[in-house]
Amino acid sequence: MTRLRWQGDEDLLGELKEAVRHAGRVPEPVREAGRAAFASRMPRTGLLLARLTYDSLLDDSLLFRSGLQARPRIVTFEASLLALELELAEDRIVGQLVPPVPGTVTMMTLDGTAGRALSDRVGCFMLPRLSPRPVRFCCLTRVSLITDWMQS
Amino acid sequence: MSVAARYQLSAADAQDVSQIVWLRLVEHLAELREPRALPRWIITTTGNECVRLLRAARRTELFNPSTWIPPDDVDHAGVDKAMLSAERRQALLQALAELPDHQRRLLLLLLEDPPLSYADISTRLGVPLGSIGPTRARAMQRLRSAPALQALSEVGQEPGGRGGRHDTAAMAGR
Repeated sequence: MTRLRWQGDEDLLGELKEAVRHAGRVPEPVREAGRAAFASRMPRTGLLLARLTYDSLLDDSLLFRSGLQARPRIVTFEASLLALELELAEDRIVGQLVPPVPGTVTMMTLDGTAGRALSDRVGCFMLPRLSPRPVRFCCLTRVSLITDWMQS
Repeated sequence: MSVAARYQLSAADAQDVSQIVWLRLVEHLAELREPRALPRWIITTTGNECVRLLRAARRTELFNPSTWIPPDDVDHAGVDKAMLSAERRQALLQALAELPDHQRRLLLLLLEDPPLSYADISTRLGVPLGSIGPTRARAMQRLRSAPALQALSEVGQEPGGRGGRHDTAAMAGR
């Protein structure tokens, strides 16, 4: 049994109180972002939600390799039947639908559509890179998906 | 916000992170059927977004080891202390979030300021007065044995040193 640093219950309760009090201070912009997120929620009729399953920025195995600075960020979104792989270069986004399938890929921001591209027969497409803000992608093919939001 | 504080993000960065977490949460709410899964989901998603943001920022600041001069005016002790207390707060909140509902509700009432009497608490929760003491004792015991706090106590136990978990947080925060 590890030694705990709280001698008595009062000690622990006191620190818990401080933690709760501290966490209670949610800044107004954060509350506002929450309201906006719920307001922006739209029906996903016929669209599969593709989860963000890989982000090279979170890949610890890449952390200490040389050349990280030069390497574009790679992200993957996956739904049950279709995946979207994106390479985020400085000036553009190169993507591929896996398995390769032709279709339309739309990049969306909270303000609306920010770009649209057709994927070719190997599922590849290109979109302009945006300044950092939340984006998501909607892919209309024979299986259609919408991705999680991500910070571009 | 306490997760973001642990990563020492600026207020603006913390807001960016919270925006993404909110946006993602509204899409995933339907899948989170178990209410107790929600705090962990938020903590994990927020933590990932904080790391992503810090690493993205680091990519844009090219680092040249041959010209880098270590800053000597950084209050390392102060930073460590702030980080440790943010980490302790987060671990406590996580442990609290993972308690069974009735235990968490009781502890939150016990933390009220000014303090409530057991009689008030009994009325508010609709439970017998005599059950409050034993429930409190079980809640405190469960809190102490929560994995989040166990991990923390292992870190705190090393004399003058820091455990691996804290080192990771410290690296991500710098």
